[in-house]
Amino acid sequence: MTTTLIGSPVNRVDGRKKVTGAAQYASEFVLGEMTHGVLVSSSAAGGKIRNIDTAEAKQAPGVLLVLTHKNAPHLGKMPNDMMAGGVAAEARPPLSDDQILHNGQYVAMVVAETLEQARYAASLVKVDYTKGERFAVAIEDAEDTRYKPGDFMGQPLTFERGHWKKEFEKADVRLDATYSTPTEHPCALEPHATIASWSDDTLTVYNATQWVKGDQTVLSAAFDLKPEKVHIICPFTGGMFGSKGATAAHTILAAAAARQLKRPVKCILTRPQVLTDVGHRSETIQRFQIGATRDGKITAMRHHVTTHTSLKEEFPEPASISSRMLYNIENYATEHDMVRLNVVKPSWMRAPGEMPGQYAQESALDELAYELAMDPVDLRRRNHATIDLTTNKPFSSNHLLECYDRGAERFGWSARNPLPRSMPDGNELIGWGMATATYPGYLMGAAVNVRLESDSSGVHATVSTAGTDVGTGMYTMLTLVTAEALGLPLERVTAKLGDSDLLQCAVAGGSNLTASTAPAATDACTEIKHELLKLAADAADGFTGAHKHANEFIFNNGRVAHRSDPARSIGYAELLSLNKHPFLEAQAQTKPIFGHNDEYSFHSSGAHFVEVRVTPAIGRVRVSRIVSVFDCGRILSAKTARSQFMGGIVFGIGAALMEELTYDRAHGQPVNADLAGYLVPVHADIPEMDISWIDEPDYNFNSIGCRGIGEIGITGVPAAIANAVYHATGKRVRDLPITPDKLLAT
Amino acid sequence: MHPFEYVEATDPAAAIHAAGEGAQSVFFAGGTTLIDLMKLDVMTPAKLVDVNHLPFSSIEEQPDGILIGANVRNSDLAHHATIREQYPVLSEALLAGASAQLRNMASTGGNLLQRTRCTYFRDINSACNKRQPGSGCDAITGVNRMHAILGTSDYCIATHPSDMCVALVALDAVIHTQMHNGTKRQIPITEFYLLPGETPERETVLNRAELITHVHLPANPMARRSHYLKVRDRASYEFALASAAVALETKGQTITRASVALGGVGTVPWRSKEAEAALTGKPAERVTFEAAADAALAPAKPQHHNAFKIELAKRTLVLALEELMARSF
Repeated sequence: MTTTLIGSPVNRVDGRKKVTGAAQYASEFVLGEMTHGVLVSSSAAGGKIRNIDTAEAKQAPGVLLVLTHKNAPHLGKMPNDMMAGGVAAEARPPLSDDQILHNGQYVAMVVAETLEQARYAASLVKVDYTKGERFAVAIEDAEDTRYKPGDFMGQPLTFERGHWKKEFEKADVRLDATYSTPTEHPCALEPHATIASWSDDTLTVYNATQWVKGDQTVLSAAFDLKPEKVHIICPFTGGMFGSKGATAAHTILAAAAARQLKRPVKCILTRPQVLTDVGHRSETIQRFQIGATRDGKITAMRHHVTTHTSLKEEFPEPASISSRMLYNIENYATEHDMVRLNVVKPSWMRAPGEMPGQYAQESALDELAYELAMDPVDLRRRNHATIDLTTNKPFSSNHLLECYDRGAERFGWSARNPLPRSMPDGNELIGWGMATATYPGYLMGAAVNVRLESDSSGVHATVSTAGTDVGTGMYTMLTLVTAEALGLPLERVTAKLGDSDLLQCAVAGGSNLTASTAPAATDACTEIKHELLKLAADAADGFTGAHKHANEFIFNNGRVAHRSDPARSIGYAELLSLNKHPFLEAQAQTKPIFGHNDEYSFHSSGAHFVEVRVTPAIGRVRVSRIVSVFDCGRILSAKTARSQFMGGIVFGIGAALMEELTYDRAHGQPVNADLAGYLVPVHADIPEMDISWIDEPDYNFNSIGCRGIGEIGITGVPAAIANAVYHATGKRVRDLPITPDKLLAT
Repeated sequence: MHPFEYVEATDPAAAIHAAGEGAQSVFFAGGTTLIDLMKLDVMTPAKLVDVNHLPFSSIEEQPDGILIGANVRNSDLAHHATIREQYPVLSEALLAGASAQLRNMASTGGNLLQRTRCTYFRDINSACNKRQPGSGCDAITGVNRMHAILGTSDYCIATHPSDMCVALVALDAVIHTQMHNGTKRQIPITEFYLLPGETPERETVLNRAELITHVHLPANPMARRSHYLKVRDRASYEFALASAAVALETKGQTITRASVALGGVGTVPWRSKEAEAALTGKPAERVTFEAAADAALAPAKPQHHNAFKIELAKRTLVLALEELMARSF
């Protein structure tokens, strides 16, 4: 097969819609009789509601309904497990009782004719809380709640292989260092939003989501409906990074209010509500103890992790997920402790586990490299793993060593003098650092439908599945893959996504959706081509028995021909006219793989090389250069892939230098819960990036050979920056983010 | 947000009259602070008097300086050729503030009255003497990394957030206003802001319904050699951890005149006469700059999370002076 489209830098097929505003996001749908719901958030961080007075709010102009725990409808038990096909953000239904578990918890929803009326009336709801209740919003204030969590998605968080302690104690070189990362929030640009509308016993929900089928599962359980009576629509999502995977309280309450009012209810979270009430990445405290031989062989590693969760529920940020498998370390142990805080339940945020874990591990390896007077790339090579020691299976495809080679070459790493402060430039100090990136290969499964039809304008294919395009480029990728497989020009293919009436598709999470859908789309196209050949075999000269030799035929530009005689081709339109229906349709699906199967372990990897410029007088750090090389199997859409990698790296720069959700320990509220206070990088923080990929297909993973790319970009970046800052200044900051005050203090 | 009345003023007298009716009336210019705080219910005015159509949108070059209309947008002022050439510190300060979109909206008069970013001021559930006199100050016991170290009191430690005002303080700008009875007055910016003391709710000497019409920049040859340096947690669109506005006049290697103001560290845009005294008559070298920085920060009082600002502000001032001296004129 000659590849023309796959891997090429095509423009986004929905680009024009997005830049002209034609792309409709959930909150932009206009329904008749729309009403507006505004949530009232608790100002207390714990205790109980002693009294809630809604009299004045109910009297305010335009108010239709005020829901509180006193009159909220009873909801069915909602699923809370990825494997159950849907996840309620918290198992406790919203407004279910008078308990306050964290600041910001919704205590009422006010619905009015206009948004302004609802907002004003919400300010009139008076809540009296019990006073003086104990609460904690920092790990050090909750030591008495320390406990060991259960598994994370089937993986144990505390285990040992070999004898780390014995080997650590007798090691030539030992490192014992503790690193910490703060609470972080994805802050997707599009705030969380829902429009819920009922018609008889059918619920239609326009939702900002990354999982329409998950929302369908949760809402059908909450309202005791058959799934087919719940219709979720989400053609576009304005970013999510994990935060729109669970079905959140505002969605459930909008649906409850809409049922009661028999009118559509729109509810858009305010930015402070997004930051306070939508799950964040937990803070982590990570202690690494590493033993090594003088020549750099790591003989022992222990990774102790402490994270937080909410008062009643558990989400352990799985920070040891990469330290357990990335390097060839036989004597390894990890432990995970948690404490309970008065905060919303933590949740997935881009590379959950790998992000903080790789910051700590790759920082520790840099420290070890200095202890050993060894180049940090050489140290990683020395401990390179060819087998995943957690599963004892070989990696299906692993080109990490090539990533190091190419990255070092493109960066000019060989010119590095390892001595800290060895590269001054005027008022600045230049530093070079590197780190490894890693992320598992996930494929959560999808069913895809492809339909080829013909009308007066010509042949046209539609590829569809319920998966959502969360901004990553799914529309473009599926269009490209289908056009390639069917031999049609791009403009002859349309992708349909984000609708629960379409075929089953996994959450747009775990960087899995391309790997799940692209092979299914291709397989469906193969079946359609087979049918086209059958039609040709029956009808056309020179095509006798063609379907029995499918791979001898070339499908190109809407026509099929035998490769020995490309000139004698027949058009799809002509073949479709011979069919009993004016179309051909096929479905195919992929089966889930969660990081490994019986034969292989599936992991992507990469390497970041970073240059920083530090102004030591004022502690200012600027990232001036990044070279990143990734091994993620075959890359299908070069432009959207580069954007994904770049977005991940930008996230990494944010985590390294500025991101931190800070809580007031006296009162329990986040003090920077808006986009002026919670800092994410702006353009001026981002340098030109040199991003490339190895592009070796992993056919053990799926028939197309692609693994996910959405999350790996972030992993390792904070460590590469921290390592570069050390190289520049001689100062090791072990607590993210690396802000001017910390550089002045150390 | 609470319901409010909206009035579009057609001339200054009408604006002042409208704003004088009822205690809960406020002028509305760019709205970049006001609308934000109204959405948070921190400000709940009963009436907005829109002054955007008043004739204060020009920048006039006069024999004794430059007269800037109160409605001149931050971006227009920052890019004005004369400002860039004769008052670079002001252009640099403006461009160091906010984002391009905000600068296109924010007005000169409005920026003078920009409210603090103190998180406890902006949260109606927190105790804040500035927002609700007598309720206390949660910032003193809370998260105060961004708060002030100069000019604080036991009642308030909120930082004045503006960059523009720091430059204006260094340039001895004069604020022109108009009042109810038609009288006008000129207030030196160094006398315009009030330290919080026991009444942090009073931020300026303005009377109710007193309208800022212009800002006058006195002619000042020293201002040609001026510079603004801002240190912050990201490269743009972030408030200062510390900033310095500096202007120097030298004869040979000796400093003959100096102007120094600090931002991000004061409850008001902070002029440091102490630093200026330490610079004047001394050689333009690092030892002098460090002595000036020590003098400027001598009165600083740190809180739990912001002690680093003392050292950072000193270094910011020294670096600003060094960068200024490194420029050719």
